[in-house]
Amino acid sequence: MIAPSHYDRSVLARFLTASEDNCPHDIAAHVENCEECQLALEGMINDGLTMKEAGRLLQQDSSAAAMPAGTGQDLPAELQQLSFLEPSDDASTLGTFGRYEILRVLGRGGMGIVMQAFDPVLDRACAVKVLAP
Amino acid sequence: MLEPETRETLIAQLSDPTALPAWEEFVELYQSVVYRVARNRGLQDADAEDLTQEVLMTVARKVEDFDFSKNGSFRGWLLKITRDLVVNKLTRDTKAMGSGDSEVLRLVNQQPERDATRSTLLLEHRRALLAQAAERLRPTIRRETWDAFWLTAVEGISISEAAARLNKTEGAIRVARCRVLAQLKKVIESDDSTFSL
Repeated sequence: MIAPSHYDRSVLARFLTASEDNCPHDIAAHVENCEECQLALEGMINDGLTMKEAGRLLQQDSSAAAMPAGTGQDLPAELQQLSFLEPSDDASTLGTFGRYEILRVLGRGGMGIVMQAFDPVLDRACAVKVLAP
Repeated sequence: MLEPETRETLIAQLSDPTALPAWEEFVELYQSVVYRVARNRGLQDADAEDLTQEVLMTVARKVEDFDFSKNGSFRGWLLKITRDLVVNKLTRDTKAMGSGDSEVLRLVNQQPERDATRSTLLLEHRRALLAQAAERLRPTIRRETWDAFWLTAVEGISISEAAARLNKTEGAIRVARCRVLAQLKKVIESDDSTFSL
C-alpha cells in the first residue's frame, strides 16, 4: 500500500482548532494512524502554553476547587473542639453559637475562627467569625 | 464577595456602556486570582476572602476615575491597578521609623516579597484564564475527546492506559489531546488580548 501523503502545517493547524462537527474525517483518520503527523501536531501544540504547563495549571485548579484550603476536615481533631459552643439538638452539627448551628470550622487565623453555620431564622447558610477564645 | 447589585451601582455612573460587561468579566476572573494569591502568600481562608473583597471594592471605587477618552484599555487599566493593590497589601509592612536610610532599606528588603507576589499573580492569572476556557470548552466537545486530554495531561495517566480506558488507539488519544489544548488556547485568544496568557 502506498503511504498517504502527510499534511502540511497549515492543514494541521486548521485541523487542530476545527470544531468536532467540522473536523475532516479523512485528516483525522490519517493523523490518528500516522506517527509523523502526530509528532508534528505535538510540536505545533507546544508552541506557547505547553501540554505539560496546561496540565499542571488545571490540576492545581481542580484540586483547589474540590477542597478549599483550610476546610474543617483538614484540621486535627483537637482543633475541632470548640468549647464555647452549646450542645445542639442536631447531632450532625458541632453545636450552637447563639442561634447559629455550627457545621464546621472553615479556618483559623491569629485573630479568631471562622465557622460555617446555618441561621435558622433567616433559613440560610452563613459564616460566623469569632475572636480566638 | 461582591454582590452583583453592588457592582452595578458602582459601575452605573460610567459613561461607557461597554464598561459593565468588561468589569463583570474582570471580577469573575479576578476574584479567584486575588484569593489564591493571598492564600499562596500565607493568608488564612477568611483573611484571603476579606482581602479579595477589599481589593475589588477599592478597584470598583477607582473605576469612576477612569477616563475612557484618554486612558486606553479599560481592561489593561483594571489589571494594573488590581495587581498593584494586591502587591501592596500583601507586602509585609516592615516600616522602621527614622532616617531616610531605613526607608531605603525597608524598600530594598520588600523587593523580593513584591517580586514573589507579582509572579504568583501572573501564574494565578494564567490558571484562572485556562480554567475559565476549560469550563467553556468542555460542554462543546465529546466526552471521550475531553477525557483523552484530561486523563493524560491533568491526571498524569499514560497515553497507553488512557487508550485502554477509553477504548481508543494511542494515536487517537494523542490527536484528541492536542486538539483539546489547541481549542483551549483558541478560546483564550478569542477573549480580549489584555487578559491573554
